[in-house]
Amino acid sequence: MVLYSYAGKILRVNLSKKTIKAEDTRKDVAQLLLGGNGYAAKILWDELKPGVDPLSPENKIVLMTGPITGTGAPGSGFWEACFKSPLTGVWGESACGGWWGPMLKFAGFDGIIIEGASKDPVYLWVHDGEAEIKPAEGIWGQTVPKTEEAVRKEIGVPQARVLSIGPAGEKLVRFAGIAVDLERYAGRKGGGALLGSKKVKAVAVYGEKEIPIAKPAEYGKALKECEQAVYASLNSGGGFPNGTLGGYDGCNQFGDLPTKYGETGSWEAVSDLYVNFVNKYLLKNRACFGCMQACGRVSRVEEGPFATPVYGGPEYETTAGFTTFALQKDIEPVIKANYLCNIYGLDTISTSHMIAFAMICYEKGLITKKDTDGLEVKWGDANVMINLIEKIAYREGFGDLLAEGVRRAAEKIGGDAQKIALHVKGLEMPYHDPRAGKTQAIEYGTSNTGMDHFHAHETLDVECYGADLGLIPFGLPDPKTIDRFSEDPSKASIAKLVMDWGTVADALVICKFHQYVNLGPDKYAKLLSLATGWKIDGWELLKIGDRIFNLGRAFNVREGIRRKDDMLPPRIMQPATTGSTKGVGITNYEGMLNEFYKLEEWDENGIPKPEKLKRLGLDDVASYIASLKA
Amino acid sequence: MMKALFVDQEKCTGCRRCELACSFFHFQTYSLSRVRLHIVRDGEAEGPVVCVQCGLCQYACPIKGAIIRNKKTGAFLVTAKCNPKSCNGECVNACPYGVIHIDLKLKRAIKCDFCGGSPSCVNACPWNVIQYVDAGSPYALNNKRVAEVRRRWSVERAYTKSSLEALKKV
Ligand code: SF4
Ligand code: SF4
Ligand code: SF4
Repeated sequence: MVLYSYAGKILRVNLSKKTIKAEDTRKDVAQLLLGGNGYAAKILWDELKPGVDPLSPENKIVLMTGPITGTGAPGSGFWEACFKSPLTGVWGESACGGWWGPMLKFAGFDGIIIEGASKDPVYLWVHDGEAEIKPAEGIWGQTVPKTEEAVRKEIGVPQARVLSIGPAGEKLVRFAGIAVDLERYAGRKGGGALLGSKKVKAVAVYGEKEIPIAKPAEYGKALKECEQAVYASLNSGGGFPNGTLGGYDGCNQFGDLPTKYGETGSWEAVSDLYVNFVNKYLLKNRACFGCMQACGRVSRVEEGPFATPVYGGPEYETTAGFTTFALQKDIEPVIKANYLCNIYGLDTISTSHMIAFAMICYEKGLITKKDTDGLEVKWGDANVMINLIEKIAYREGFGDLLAEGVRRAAEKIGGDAQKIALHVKGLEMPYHDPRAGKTQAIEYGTSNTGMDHFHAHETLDVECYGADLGLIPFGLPDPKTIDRFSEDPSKASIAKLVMDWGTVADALVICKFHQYVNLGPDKYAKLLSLATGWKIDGWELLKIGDRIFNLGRAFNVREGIRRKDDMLPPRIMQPATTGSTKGVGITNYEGMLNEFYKLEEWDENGIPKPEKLKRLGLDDVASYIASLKA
Repeated sequence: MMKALFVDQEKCTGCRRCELACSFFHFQTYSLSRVRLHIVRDGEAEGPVVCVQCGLCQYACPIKGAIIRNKKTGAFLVTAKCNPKSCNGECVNACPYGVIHIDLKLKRAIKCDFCGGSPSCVNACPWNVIQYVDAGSPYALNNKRVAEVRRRWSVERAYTKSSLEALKKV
């Protein structure tokens, strides 16, 4: 029987045994959890023993597409990497755009499970319903662009899409990312280190298979409607045709731009940064597969110490990290820093975070020149920034400490470092300031992946920018009526709704920026129904989000996560010192958290109640949790 | 009036909506497998390589009437006489742009037919990269764009080699 809109097969690659198997995509799992993070959560829940070392062969990484990936649906160019994170030790997932995901499906697979570990470097070549494990000695040690080029050349298919790791992944830098085509990254939580530990340098995919659609003609019509909706939104100023960096100045005004390692939320010195970028460095927009918004930027610095070739340029998070967070005000070093992170295979958020962390520790005397290989790690020093990126990527000297991530580094540095460090569950804070919109605080605390902008960033957009994410029919109050500074426990219900919608987006595997352009749960539910032939409405979709979020939570509970791990770092709760959030701190975090637990039906320790898990159709998870309490 | 497709490569974002639309128009399905235009990425430039209706396929085809020209639009169309078994796919070999294929399911060659006069790729492109214009005007459009582009890129970077050739032939 055809599983419409899925490729129908999932590859299982065991690197220890050097075996490759194609398994059927399971319809029951697909219906319960769709694809992406949902399907992968099921695999990892079933197959990972609690407590495995994330960098051991026992950990697995699941690269998954979703049911509408590659079907032309707006935002359907994404794929997901899911694993137990080498950085945090808990649930890890990272979404990525580009063309790799659709190409995997055209090659005949919904996903790839990579397990075990190889002794020698290898890469995978997946094409036309087949897969091969190929030796990669020759490219081990290479940067990302060189790797991509070499792999394409060796397989002889220039159109192949290549996912790869750089030296940082090989050196097991705990926040090494997975690159696709040098401009798209599954950046966060250390997927690159995990691939490095398995000695997987790259995964190349190419295929020309069709994706079967249950009701193709109607699907085509529904797609047209969605397209119209996107255009309407873009024409009225919504979406991201200016890239995410287009929101930089707005974030600055809202106090949403973490500055000086989170001391405050804005910095006047960078008020013309975006305009400067557009005028001098931006060459053009670039899109992921099937996208009308094309938020990707192509840029370069033509000459000088920060010169770069033309490449997929910096977006908002990277820019915030390498500017305000480290008190550095120029865009050129950002373009260079981004380029270096891309070629070495580093997550730009965690990398910039670690550099600013080094700066604050240096300022406070927690580390000195003796620790930093003689570098004066002063605020805003662009050369130091560039220097540290290289050291981190290759784990050289001081870089070796920073490559461990902020939680481990702070432990080693000792003293006040642990009090200063900004992270939840070991994931470094990204660049939206929760003091600027309090729902964000709850999302940072409760996200399964730690202090993550990935599920959480939407709330800030709801509270600061008035984006409704298509959620008004599902109970979201009109964003214009929400007081962003209020810490009323009712904020938890906004957080819950957005969390569910954000979570299910990663199971459909769609780009979240499509939640801003008139494409809410109802629109995607319609597309999903026509593509698969199932009957699903927006409410059902949100319920699937709830199910996946709680499955992820259960995974974390199994790994030992409890309420104490949902707490926010003290530094980010203190009143901001400048800008529109001056004097604003976070004072009722626990009150909001309690309410969120109530809505989730978690006990006071943050453990989901078995009854709820059962109601969600997660019976085996429910019995595990029940046994835990007994 | 004869028509042509004008392609403004510099604006292309690489989203492939043009390919998807082409594929859907002809086959009611979304895939890259049977489309007739390619997104080519060549160093820093990228963009669709479209059929320029040069007619080399017709010239190469050994079967009379297998490829005919629509007098109104100028598009070369593949007819039912096409029989790939008997010709070694001469048209495919002849096409300089790689935009004519043998479709294994249909058992005939497929190529751009201007979608009967309202090209799907043109309608689908969010950035107006592909335009459906009078056959004479691409020169004018091209000159204008080249002048614009020169300000930021060298022409060599803005256009791939094959599309430069294609533009010359329009
Ligand atoms: S909005 Fe940006 S990230 Fe999302 S699909 Fe489009 S180009 Fe990719
Ligand atoms: S005009 Fe039609 S057939 Fe030709 S390339 Fe465009 S969409 Fe395809
Ligand atoms: S639709 Fe337009 S922007 Fe997208 S790939 Fe085709 S020509 Fe380029």
